[in-house]
Amino acid sequence: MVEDSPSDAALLEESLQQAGLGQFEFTRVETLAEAMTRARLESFDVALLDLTLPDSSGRETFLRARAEAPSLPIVVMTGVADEALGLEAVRHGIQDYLIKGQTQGPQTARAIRYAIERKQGEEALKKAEAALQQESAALEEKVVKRTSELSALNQMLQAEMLQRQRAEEAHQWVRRRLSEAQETERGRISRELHDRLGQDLTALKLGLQNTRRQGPFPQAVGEQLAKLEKLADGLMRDIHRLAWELRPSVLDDMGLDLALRRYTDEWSENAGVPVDLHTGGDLDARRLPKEFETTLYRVAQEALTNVARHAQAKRVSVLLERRTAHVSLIVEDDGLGFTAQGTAGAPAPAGQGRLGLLGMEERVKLAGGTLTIESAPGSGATVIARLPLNAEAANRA
Amino acid sequence: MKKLRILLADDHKMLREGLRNLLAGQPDMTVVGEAASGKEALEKAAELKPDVVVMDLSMPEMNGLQATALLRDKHPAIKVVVLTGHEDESYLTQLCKAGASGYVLKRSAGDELVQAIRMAARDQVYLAPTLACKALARLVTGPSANRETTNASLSDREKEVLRLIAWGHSSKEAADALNVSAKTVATYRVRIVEKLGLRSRAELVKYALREGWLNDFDAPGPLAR
Repeated sequence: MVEDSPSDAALLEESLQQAGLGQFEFTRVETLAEAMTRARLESFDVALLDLTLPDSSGRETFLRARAEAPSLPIVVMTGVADEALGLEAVRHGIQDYLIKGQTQGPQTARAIRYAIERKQGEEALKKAEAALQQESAALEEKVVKRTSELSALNQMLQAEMLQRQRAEEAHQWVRRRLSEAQETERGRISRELHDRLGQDLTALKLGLQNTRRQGPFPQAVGEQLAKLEKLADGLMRDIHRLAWELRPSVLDDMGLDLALRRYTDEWSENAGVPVDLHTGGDLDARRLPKEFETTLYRVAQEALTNVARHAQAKRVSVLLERRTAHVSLIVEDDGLGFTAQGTAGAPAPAGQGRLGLLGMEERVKLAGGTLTIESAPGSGATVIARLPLNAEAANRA
Repeated sequence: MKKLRILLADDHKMLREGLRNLLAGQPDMTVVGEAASGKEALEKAAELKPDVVVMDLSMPEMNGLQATALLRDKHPAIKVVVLTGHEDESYLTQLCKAGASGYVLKRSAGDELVQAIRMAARDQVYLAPTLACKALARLVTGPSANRETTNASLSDREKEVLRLIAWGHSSKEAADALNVSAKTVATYRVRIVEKLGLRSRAELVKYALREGWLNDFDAPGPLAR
């Protein structure tokens, strides 16, 4: 109790003790300065504060008290004339105000108890708020940290993806060059075999014939000559065949249409399966880009090889069509077909057939096209290779 | 008897020698000159006016095909017998167009070449028998693929399926275009093939072409791509 009037203090003390609402233990001081010192040193439940003190008066009293003991519940006591001041005190964080002489003991006691509880509640709320704020600040910090971590990761990921894409492009480029180089090399060897070795062998054969004409020779020599001629014949056939298999000169000289015709004829004869070849789209007059011709020729070769190996087909269609925006090659057979896994119908070829399909796909992809394979066991298989013809491709032709 | 005057055009010296020996053994022939390129063959032919030029196909500085065409165009009296390692009837058509009188395979150079030269001089044509057979076979089987098909009428739906397949779409694409399952398309296909008596996809295409069903297809659009 901060009260400089002993009579007022006694009156208040008495009315409170008589209210019968629990025990109150009073410590009375007369100045604000003393009150604040004591409040710092000891623990009180509540301060009852008279506003008019020897060392302070009016609003200054509660402002100072509030500032110096922020967590102490304070109930202000005012005179009748100062009710407005009491209200102001409440607005400044004082828990309650009592008007001297107007309140009964029980009322005052209740007011004091409420004041204590209110202050406790306020303090708890403040603590909770502070904790919440801290928590939320921590959370915010965490979010900021995670966000920056994530964005760093994201950047790394993007860089990685870009790198991969570049690597994939480079890889694609290399594979394309490789495939090109392989075809060029095959073509070179094929021509070399055909032109050089073929010529040499022809010369050899002519020489042998000439020699024979200069006879007659003893029978043994004649027989020997005939044998050598036959050997030269066989060699010529083998070389020719080898050259054609490596890379048919007709593909470079005459284009895909005729090369396919030739290949399907040969295939049909060897496999004993009739081939219906249909080509369309002015392929003679407007040659396809060389890369496309090679790709489609090799795909046809691969597809027909698969058919011969696994399909037991009765009939095969080979279709080559040049459309406005693409050129397509279709190889369709009426054989055993295969399942979606790419294994052929009856005698499942371990890997080989599958490899063939992958090889085709790779070739077509490298040329920028798409390969579609449709098949079901028992109903044949369709291989569709499509290569896009853009302006550039058309010009390259 | 006047001997046939012959010019040998081949970039391979040993081969020319062999040919010269071969022809020297013929009583009715004499080799008047040799050339090692298509260009030289043209020059020598203009200068020597041989009766027959024996021409290799793969030569530097203008190949045999071009040289044959130019030579026959400028000097129609000079005959050309092509001697080649290309056992491919594809070249045959081109050479016939260019005006060659003979097509002899190198591996049967000896007697066949002699015979071809004599025939060329008599305005006849000699074709290597294996190639002649193949060319003839194509003539017989090629266009005849336009087999008679029964004139069964197709339903609109069947016609649509046939058009899509003949255009070159996969069953799945055709199915997507018609909003049906790929299995349905397969069923349609079987029915179409049975109705029309077609044996393969190629015959299906030829049928659709003949009916003019693909004419309006080569236009931009999701399906006609």
